[in-house]
Amino acid sequence: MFNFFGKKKEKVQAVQEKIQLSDERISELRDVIETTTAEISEIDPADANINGLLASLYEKLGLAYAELGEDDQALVSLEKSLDYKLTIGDGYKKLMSIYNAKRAEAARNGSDAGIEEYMGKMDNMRQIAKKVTISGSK
Amino acid sequence: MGVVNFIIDNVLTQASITIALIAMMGLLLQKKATGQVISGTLKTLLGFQVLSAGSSIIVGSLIYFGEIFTAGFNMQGIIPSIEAINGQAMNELGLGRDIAFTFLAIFVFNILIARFTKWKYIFLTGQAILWMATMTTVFGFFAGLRGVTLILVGGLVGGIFAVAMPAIAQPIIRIVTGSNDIALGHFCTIGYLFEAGVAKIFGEKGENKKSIEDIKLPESFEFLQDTYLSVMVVMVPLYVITAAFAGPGVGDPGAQHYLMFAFLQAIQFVVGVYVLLAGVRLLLGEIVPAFRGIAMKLVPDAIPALDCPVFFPYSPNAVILGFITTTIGTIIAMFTLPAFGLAMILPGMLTNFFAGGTAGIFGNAVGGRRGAIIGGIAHGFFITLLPALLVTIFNSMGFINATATDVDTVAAALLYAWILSPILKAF
Repeated sequence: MFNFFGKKKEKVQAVQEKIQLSDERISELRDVIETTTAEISEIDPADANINGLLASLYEKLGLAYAELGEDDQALVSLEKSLDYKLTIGDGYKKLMSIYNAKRAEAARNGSDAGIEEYMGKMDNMRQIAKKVTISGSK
Repeated sequence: MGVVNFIIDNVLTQASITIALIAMMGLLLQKKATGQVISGTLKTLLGFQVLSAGSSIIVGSLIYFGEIFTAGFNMQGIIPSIEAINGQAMNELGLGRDIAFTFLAIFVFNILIARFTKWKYIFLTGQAILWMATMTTVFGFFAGLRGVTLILVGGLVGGIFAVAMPAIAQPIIRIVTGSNDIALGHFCTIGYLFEAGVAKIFGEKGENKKSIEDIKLPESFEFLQDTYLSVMVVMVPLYVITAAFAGPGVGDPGAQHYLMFAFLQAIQFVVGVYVLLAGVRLLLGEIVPAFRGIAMKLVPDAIPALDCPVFFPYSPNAVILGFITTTIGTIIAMFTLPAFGLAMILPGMLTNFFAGGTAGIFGNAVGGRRGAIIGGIAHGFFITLLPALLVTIFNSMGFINATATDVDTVAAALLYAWILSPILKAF
């Protein structure tokens, strides 16, 4: 039904399968985490654009953790990124994906509190998307 | 027996108490603390009464608007406002209790369909479910259904839409997001598929597909952040210009200058919408979290169908282009539909942004920039045409100068009006 896409459908499904990371890629990501963490600690507090810089660095950190499958660390970093500056880039999308995965895990475990927590966070993400689309990142 | 009669005659006939009891049931099923159950139940009760109050404020202003529009332009001007429809259905038609039960029934049928079929979508946009409950109840009532039958048929139709709409959008949502994790829970999906169809035919294909360059809304569009500001921006000029054409002596301005009176009537409409939506937020604030928690546990592999802004980050430029092109389409429809004997449907800024923006994402995904532009204008025309088809029926039911907005709810209404109603009349 509504089969607009034929071949494209197979391509999307292939993208969804979990990609096994090579040792080389894992090592690259660990380096990114190390250097980004260092950059965060070395940032000049007097920098006029400190919020934007920190948001960008925490986003980079979060995306690296997410690719390694370390979702808890990724969540903390990506939330910090949005605390510094609201954006709707790759970090936003990855965080939404993590929230949804955690919601699903809570549902499987029958945890009302978990479901409510992550659905609440997803509600907030909706507000952020609306705000930034209309007003831009500030 | 006396107690049962008391409950049936005095409690269940009161829509606000019925819906508060539904909220209480949800909170108890979620095993919330006693304090939370009591406060949640009372908030829901309060929310319903606030919603009713908002509706009364809107109706007075709408009656005035109808008079000046007819006097000024010699035709019926229709404001697209599902809030006004909901309010009038609850107050004037006394359908509040049936809408409340249908709201619950839609949730229940959604959970049942997701639990026992391969379509695992749980529709989580509470406000949209409320509007669908309104439309199925109003049009079921129009078709002659009453009582439990009205509620069950409305719940089933709404429940099917709650699963089917995310399902038909999902092939494109998968392309847009690159995954199957989340689905679209917004009852304008038929419009989105319409734009996708137009974009498929007229848009760019394959290698020729160009993405939309960076577009930003000017700062003057900040009003879109707030619902009541978005309504005000359209209503104030609309009322004042219409009153200018109608001239003095229409309505009942008393000693006040007729243009000032028109301005204040426009503000009254905005106030009514503000109050009504404040009521909706209170009303849904307890029910939706309670029932979505239940839904998630009963359907652990559920795919949540979320409100449209969640998809804006995947294509924000398409959203802006979609808003602009859908607005162009609605303005074209506003002026051309009366030539075919339909009412003049005035543009709704919020629908143009949220539905138009989301439709832009669909148009861009299927047909690139050209698909988004041509598809957007066609979408704007389409989402004005469908509500226009309902105006005659709304008029005959006593609704004043308003029509529905979200096209899936309009489609459900047309299903009742064109298919169910004739079948029921045949028996």
